[in-house]
Formats: sequence, structure tokens, C-alpha cells
Amino acid sequence: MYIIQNAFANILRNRGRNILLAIIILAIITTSVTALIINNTSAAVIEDYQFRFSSEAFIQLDIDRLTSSASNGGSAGGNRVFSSASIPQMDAELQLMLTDSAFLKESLATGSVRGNSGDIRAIDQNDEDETDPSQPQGIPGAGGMAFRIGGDMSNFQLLGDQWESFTEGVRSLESGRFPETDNECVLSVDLAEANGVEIGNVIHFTALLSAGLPEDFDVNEAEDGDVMEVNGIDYTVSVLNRDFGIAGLNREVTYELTVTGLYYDLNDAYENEMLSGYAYFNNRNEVLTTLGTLLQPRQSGESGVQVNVRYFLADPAYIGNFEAEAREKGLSDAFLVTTDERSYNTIVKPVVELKKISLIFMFVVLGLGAVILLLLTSISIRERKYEIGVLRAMGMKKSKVALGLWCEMLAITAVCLAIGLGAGAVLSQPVSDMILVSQVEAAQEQNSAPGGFMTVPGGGGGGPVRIQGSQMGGARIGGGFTANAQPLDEMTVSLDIATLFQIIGIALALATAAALAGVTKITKYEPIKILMERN
Amino acid sequence: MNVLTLNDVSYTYDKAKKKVLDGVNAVFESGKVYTIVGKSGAGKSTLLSLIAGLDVCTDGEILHGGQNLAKLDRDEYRAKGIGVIFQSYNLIQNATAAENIVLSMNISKSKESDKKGFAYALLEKVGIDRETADRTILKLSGGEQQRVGIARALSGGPGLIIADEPTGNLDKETEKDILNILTSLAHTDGKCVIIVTHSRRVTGVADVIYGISGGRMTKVEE
Ligand SMILES: Nc1ncnc2c1ncn2[C@@H]1O[C@H](COP(=O)(O)OP(=O)(O)OP(=O)(O)O)[C@@H](O)[C@H]1O
Ligand SMILES: [Mg+2]
Repeated sequence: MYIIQNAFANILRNRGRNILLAIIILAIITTSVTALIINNTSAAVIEDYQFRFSSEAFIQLDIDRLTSSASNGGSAGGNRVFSSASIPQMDAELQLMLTDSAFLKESLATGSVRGNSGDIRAIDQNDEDETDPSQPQGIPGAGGMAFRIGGDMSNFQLLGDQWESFTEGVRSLESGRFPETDNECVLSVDLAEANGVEIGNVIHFTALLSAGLPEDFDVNEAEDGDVMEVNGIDYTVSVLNRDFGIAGLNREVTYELTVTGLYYDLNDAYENEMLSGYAYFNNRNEVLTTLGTLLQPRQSGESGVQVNVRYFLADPAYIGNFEAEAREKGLSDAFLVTTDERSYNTIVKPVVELKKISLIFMFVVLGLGAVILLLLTSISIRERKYEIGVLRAMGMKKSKVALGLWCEMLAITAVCLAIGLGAGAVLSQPVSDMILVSQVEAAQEQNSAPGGFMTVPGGGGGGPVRIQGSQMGGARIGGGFTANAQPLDEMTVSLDIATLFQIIGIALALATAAALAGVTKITKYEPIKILMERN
Repeated sequence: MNVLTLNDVSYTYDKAKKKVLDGVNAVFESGKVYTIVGKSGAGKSTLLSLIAGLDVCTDGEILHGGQNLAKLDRDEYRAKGIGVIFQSYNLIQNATAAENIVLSMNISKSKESDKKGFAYALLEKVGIDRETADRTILKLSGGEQQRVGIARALSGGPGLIIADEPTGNLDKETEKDILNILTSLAHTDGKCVIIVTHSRRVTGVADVIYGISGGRMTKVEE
């Protein structure tokens, strides 16, 4: 169509003016590209982190409440001392029941059991200890009680559905396959080799499950080894400390597990040097099976199978509903239901700020640019009034004149778009880095208050409790979540399809607005007047 | 054949109260050359711009082929119905002579397949050689621009051609050439040609001469 041809010819005919126009459009587009790339990339990062950090609901022990009640209760010393009796626990039934909540997108239930085996020997297994069951082997820190229950030494950890280390890449299957049904397990290559275990072998593990003490239980009348029936099941009484009235009711259960695979482990054998040499803490002694397997022999109310559930809300806004549901189902006030806002803020806030800055920046540039552009085109249209008058006198319709102007603007804009996209793509990374670094510094200043993180694994009754937190050493809740919030100080920005379309949209709008500004000017004049003003 | 009829045409510029044209009546037929004479400021150019469809008269009516210009699609009329040679040329300044012609042909939706070739031929006919045809209007003399303006008026092949002082900037020789072209357009091609002029040589070739004064137009000679 000749209108387009003429538009192109016109661009070349009026080079000087169009170069000026192009420089301004280029500046607007380049800044918009930069801002939009940063904005859209941060939006994606924010969404991702929102999912990862604010969608997980944590059921945590209310530490403030606990410490204040502990000191009121006159616990010895200044240090926090928790006896198993004084720490409220969330029972596994409730934990598992909450996985059905309608407010969750998903939940991740894992578990662990302390076990022993007559069939194989654990790496670093120390049988001497077993000869003196009345003297619990204390380990500095909190570990002492962790692997000793009812006077029995546990050498293995049976972990249920804890496959994270495989997805993280620290463990990998060397041979065989993962358990597909209950009562299957995978062992570390080291453990298998040490015992000559092969895939297909069946290994028996024993574990102790405990029942809560009946109300009429009197520790002074009980003897170690007494058999007591609770809910129709026989338990053996184990008196741990008569002076403090600590006793347990235990029964031994056996897991019969078929080895389906062997895994390599890149983990250190011991995560904490203090625990080095204690078989129970050796990562190579972990027996990986399903949570279902671990829960099979368990009766309602029994402890011994530690269950840890991670809850992921369908929407972070559901936290209140989820808490209400948990309370209704019996969650005690001693627990807080929260999302990890602090991590979220530390990590995501700089990005949110970056997004905000880039967006404001873009709107300012767009606004200013649009004003300059409109001014410039209305000036250039005045210059071109004579030309337009001539075209109109020759019989060109207003709409075609407008179309021609629009084509000119579009063509100029298209060239600027091509250059601007390239320039913006190159600029966006350093600009993003610069803003992000300053925002990270700001966020770190705000969020520098220290705070321990405490998660209490499930397990009812008299089972020991491990508390994760800096003051408690390195005892690890199997598969537990470690809050390790590092602010996001690096973000790779890139131009994606959506951004590309947004930019094209903006450019199109710019060109149209500029052309429109001119068109409204022309349509005000009849050709005769335009020509006469000239003459 | 009746090409253009003016019935009591009056015209007032927006702000001036004085009527520049006051009840002009005339009939223009095909195959004839008309000239309109009158003092400077008499309203000749004003009348032509009304005939050209650049403006509509404030009173009365102008009929083209029996149709009232005021009610016609005047863009279409300007593109195809009439060829206008302006007193001040009114060409696209930074385009070449040939480009001006081609653009005009495009606007009038010319069916010519080789528009460029046609433009060169047409320019040749009014005395613009190929080299000059490829220069921008800014680089042409007044006389050359005048010829380009004439060529453009002819490019759409209209039945009515109006010219405002078409030979004002031309030497005698060229004036003769141009007048030959215009008269042959009327007498050979049967077009209606209306020329506003001060030149005796131009009125010499006219079939009918009108004079404008005091806003009225009268037939001076036939
Ligand atoms: N745009 C305008 N607004 C107001 N008055 C105008 C305008 N154009 C022309 N006039 C006036 O209208 C009258 C007629 O002008 P016009 O240009 O038609 O004269 P003309 O006969 O063509 O003169 P010339 O021989 O000098 O070309 C003049 O008095 C002029 O001043
Ligand atoms: Mg005049």
C-alpha cells in the first residue's frame, strides 16, 4: 500500500527530525525494557519464594511461653532445662490428621524410629555399652538421652519417607531400587558391605514403642521388668529415675525389612564431631523405608515413632483458617502456628523492593517520556502542517493521513524497539545487581535480630524430645526443616516472552499516542486553512 | 456538456464580515477554456478554492455533474474529479517532482501500471526532463515547480482543471507551451479548463472570459 511506502519515504526525507524522535523513543524503550525485565524477573522470584517461604505452615512450640512457665516453675539454674514431662508434645495422630486439611496444597510426612538389629551390626556399633544399661551414657549437649531409651542403646535410625537427600543430590542409589511398598528398605553401601548384605536380603530391626503411664501408676511400686497391660497390650515397665518419678512402659516391635537397594552417601558420617563414634548418629547407619512401614506396628497413643509433618498451605492467606482447624482438632495453646515470615522477609523483601523501584522507575520514565514525545510530535506536526495540507488538497482522506503518520511512528519505534531490547537486556543485569545489593543491605539491617528456631517433633507420652536450635547442638530431627535464610543477593534477570510482549505493547502504545497527538491536530484544520496560513 | 454550475455562490472568510464573493452565477462546460480576470484581492483564488472543493460556499451552491459539492465526498472529488494548479504550487517540498506525481496518482487510485514511467512522461510533456524530475521540489525554480504543479493536476486524468495564475512565473516561450497543453486538453480531450490570470496572452486563448469585481462575476467576452 502506497501509504506505507510513503511513510517510509517520509522517514528518510525528514531524517533530522526523526533521529531526534528516535533518540527519545529509544531512551524510553531502553529504560522500560530494563525496568520491565527486572520487574518481571523479580515477580517470578517473589512468587517462587512466596510459595517456598510463606506457604509452609509451622507448628512450633511457643518458646516464650515455655521459658516463662519453666522459670516460674523454679527449674534449676539459669539454663533452659526441659524435662520430657514439662514439654507439651504434639501427638502423631493430630499431626497426621491435619494432613487432610482442606487449606493445604500438600503435606510432607516423614518419620523416624530408633532401632536395633540382631541380623547386622551398625558401623561404629559399641556393644560394651549394652552391658551397663542402668547408666545412661551421657553425651555433652542434648544427645545423651536421644539414643537411649528405656536403658537400651539404639544403633540404627529407621527413617520413613525421608528422601530429601536424594533429591538434593547428597545421596544416590548405587544399585537396586527405592522401596515401592511397605516393609522394603534401602541401606548405605557402607553398611551393606560391612555386613555382607545384598539386595533381596531380609533384615530384622527391633524398636521400642512406649505407652503413656496410666494415671494410677505409682513409680514406687513398680519394678524394672514388670509387665503391665494397657489397652489390652502388654508393656514392660522401665524405671529410669525413681527420684524424679521418671518411668516408661515399653514394648518391643520388630520390623522385617527387605533390602531393595543400596545408596551412596556424600554426607559426612557424622554431622557433628561431638557425636562422632556413636553408631546411632552415623549417617551410614540410616535405614530408609516408608513412613507407613514405621507406623504399622504402632498403636494409637504410642510413642516411639517420631513423626514430622510439613504443611504447605494452598495459599499463604489460609494460615488463620489452618490454625483454627488445628485448634479445633486439639492443638494445645503451647504451640504456635506460623508461616516463616522472617525468612520470607529477609530473602524476598529486597526483591520486592527491587520490583517496586523498577516499576516506579518505569512509570516515571514512561510518563516523562510520553510528555516529551507528545510535545515533540505536536511540534513536528505543526512543522508538517503544510505537507498535510497539500496531501489533503490532493484528496487524501484524513484517515489515510493519520495512518501514514502512525506508520512513520511505528517504523521509527520498531527500529528503537530492536535497539532498545538489546540495550535493555544488557543493562538490566548490572542495574538489577546494583539496586538489589543496596536493598539486601537495607533488609539485613532490619532483620538482624537473632532468634532461635525451634521445632518439636511429634511423639507422644514419655518419649524423649529433641529440640532443634542453636543452643542445643547439632542433634538433627530426621528430615526436619532448617531455617537458613540467606537473602537473595543475586538474581539472574532475563528477557522472557511475556516481557517481550509487554514491551511491544508499550512501544505500540507510545507510537500510537504520538501519532494520535498529531492526528488530533490535523483534523482540526481544513486543507484550505492549512494552505492559506502558509501562503 | 455542463461540468460545473455556480448558483448564487457567496463566501465570507470566518472572521471578516465582508463578503468576498456575493452571489456568483456561472456555468462551465466541457471542451472549453475559461479565464477569470480581476484585480488582486478580488476573490479569484477564493472562488477557485471553492470550485476545488477545499471549502464550501457560505451561501448558494456549486454543482459538479449535477451534484452539490457541499454534500459530496470532497476528498474523492479532489482526488479524481478535478485537477488544481495552485498559485503557490503546493507541492510536497522534500519529495522529488516525480514522487509528487506518483503520490498524486496513488491518491486518485490511478489504474496506471507503471506510475513512475507515466510520471516521467507527464513531466516531460510540461518540460521537465528526467534529471530535474528526480530532484526534490526545494531544489527547483519557481517556473519548474509551476510545471510540476501542472503535471500533477493532469496526473489523475480529471474532467475539470482549474489553474491559478499557471503562467505567472514562466517566460513567454514556456507560457506558450503550457497554454498549448491546457487548450488542447479542452479542445482535443474535451476537458473543462478554468484559468485565473492577469495575462493578456492567456485570455487570448480563452473561449469565455469572466471578470470578478465587488464580489460579483460577469461574462466579459465569449
Ligand atoms: N484566509 C483568509 N482570511 C480572511 N481573508 C482572506 C483570506 N484569504 C484571502 N482573504 C481575503 O479575501 C480577498 C480575496 O482574496 P483572494 O486570494 O481570493 O484574491 P485574488 O483575487 O486571488 O488576488 P490575487 O490576484 O492577488 O491572487 C482578499 O481581500 C483577501 O485579503
Ligand atoms: Mg489569487
